[in-house]
Amino acid sequence: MVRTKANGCAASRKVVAASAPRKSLGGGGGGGAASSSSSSGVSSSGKNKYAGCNPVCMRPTPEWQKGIGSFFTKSQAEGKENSWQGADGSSGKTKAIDKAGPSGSIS
Amino acid sequence: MFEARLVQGALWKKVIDAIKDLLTEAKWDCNSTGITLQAMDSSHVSLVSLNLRAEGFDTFRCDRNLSMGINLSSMSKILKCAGNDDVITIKTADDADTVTFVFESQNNEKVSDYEIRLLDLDTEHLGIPETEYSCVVKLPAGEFQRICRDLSQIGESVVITCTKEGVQFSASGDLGTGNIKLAQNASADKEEEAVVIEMNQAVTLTFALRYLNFFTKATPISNQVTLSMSQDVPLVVEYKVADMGYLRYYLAPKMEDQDD
Repeated sequence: MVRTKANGCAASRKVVAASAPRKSLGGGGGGGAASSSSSSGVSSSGKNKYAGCNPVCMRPTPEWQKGIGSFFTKSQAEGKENSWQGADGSSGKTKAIDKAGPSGSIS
Repeated sequence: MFEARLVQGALWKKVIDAIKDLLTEAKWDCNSTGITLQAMDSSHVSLVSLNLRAEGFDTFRCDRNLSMGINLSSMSKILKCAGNDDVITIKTADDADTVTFVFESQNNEKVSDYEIRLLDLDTEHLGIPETEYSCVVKLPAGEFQRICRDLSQIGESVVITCTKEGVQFSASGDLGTGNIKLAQNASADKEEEAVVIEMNQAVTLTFALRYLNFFTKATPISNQVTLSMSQDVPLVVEYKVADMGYLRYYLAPKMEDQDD
């Protein structure tokens, strides 16, 4: 008799098990990226839509990567933010790119 | 005397989370108009630029210009001591060698203060030109994070192709290839889900996913991210910080003369 009664409640038991707190909190096996997304404060619909799946695969810096310093002029003071650094040291508002390697090391 | 009080203290936590993996230490420049930070990562590959206007704070006082050199790992540890609903005040006296963080709970029943030592940092300031970009793409920040994360499984770099119809992200590697196309969707039901493209000229550019994945740590700051691109010019990845400013990241593309 007891067993029959328990079977009668099986469906509701399943529901309870399926809503275990750690599952209903949306952490669902997504790795680091998912958990960071869940703490994001982005709208709740956004959380569910983009969370989960692959964690970030940390890739090395490609060999072709140039340093950012070769694209901008060093400014001594604020307010001199108006020119690109040219390869010949010239500057201008249009793109003039230093094609030399980065000024700093690349990890 | 410098004092900045922000009721929405969680914003500070999100901003620090967005930059602490890229920068170990940085100089916070404070003046009467607000707070700015500009720093290159340790490899000098990417640039971070943060601007928080004084009007965005609930109270803001800066009697004279000052630069606070702060270890961001320490700052992150301190800010983790604050509750998400806490009001956060950052203050320092003129010529002080420490900065104080005060956390007040909403009902003011708990007040904590933490002090960390300031660093004497010698950093370069780069002039960033105002540029008209060939393509400016606005898309959901969560979508961009997801794309960078997914394509990092495939290869070390992503090719972004932007046309009037949409934007395509592609990667290839030993495993195979992956392509993600987003169609322009300016009339999406929810503004934060819109994909909007402003284009003068189509571009195809290649970027290192390593850095894009660092940039997407800023996803919690804003529902939308803006990618500004021109040929052979650094990409700008911008997240609006509430109504008070922005967080921008700069990354150089693969140059045309580097095509294999």
